[in-house]
Amino acid sequence: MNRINKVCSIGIKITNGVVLGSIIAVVFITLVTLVAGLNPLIKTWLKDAFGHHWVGKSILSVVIFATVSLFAGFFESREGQRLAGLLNALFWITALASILLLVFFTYEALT
Amino acid sequence: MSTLFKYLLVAHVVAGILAVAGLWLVWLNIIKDKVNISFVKNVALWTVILLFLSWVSGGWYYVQYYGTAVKPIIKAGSFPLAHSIVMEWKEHIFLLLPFLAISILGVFLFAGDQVESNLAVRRSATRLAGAATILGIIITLAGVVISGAVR
Repeated sequence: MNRINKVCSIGIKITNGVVLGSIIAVVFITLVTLVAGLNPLIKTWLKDAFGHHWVGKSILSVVIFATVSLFAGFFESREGQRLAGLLNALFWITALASILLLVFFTYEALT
Repeated sequence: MSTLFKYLLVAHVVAGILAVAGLWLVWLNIIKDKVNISFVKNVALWTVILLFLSWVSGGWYYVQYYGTAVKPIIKAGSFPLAHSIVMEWKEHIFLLLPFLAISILGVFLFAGDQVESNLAVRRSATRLAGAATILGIIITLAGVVISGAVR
């Protein structure tokens, strides 16, 4: 029984790491899009380094997700409540990012 | 448009629509009284695979073809905002979707027991699956608007 509980808690730990990695990736995509939109130097750097700014954002987001998930997996909590909290945070951050980017591109297009 | 770009566009659309259907199936199954963890796990895995296929095929088409051949037509057409707002928003919001899908897969792959036993985890997973499905539907509709603006 203890062994089963231990395996289950390791599963939560890994999942918490994956969800935290996703949160950081979503925040990164949103911030880098806003910053690159406002600062042409960042957009040019992404284009020069990856061939296209969108490819740069794609590759960097995957690298950030993989790195955070891997390392966070070691330190994350084994609590189910923490998992619920992280999933809720991902939901709200995604909703905010979607609205923020829509407002930003609308403002950019109309001004 | 060359045959390669036609296939890439078709792959992007078909894989994307199937992935949204996968997210919807996951959402529908979590809200059931008894969750079939094994079924949801498989659907979530296929959803992630399809999203990555849609990401790569759509990205290839977008980087190699859209910017030079499609974007100028939309900008010169009757609805240029289809590019400057809808496409700009869609291409960035699309990047969020695979991470939502991976998180949902992670929940069912490594912590499926929590969905059954922990009401807080189940509620938050349901909310996230619902948001991912709705976002996927909005992205699909954005694609329809962009296609319409080219004609």
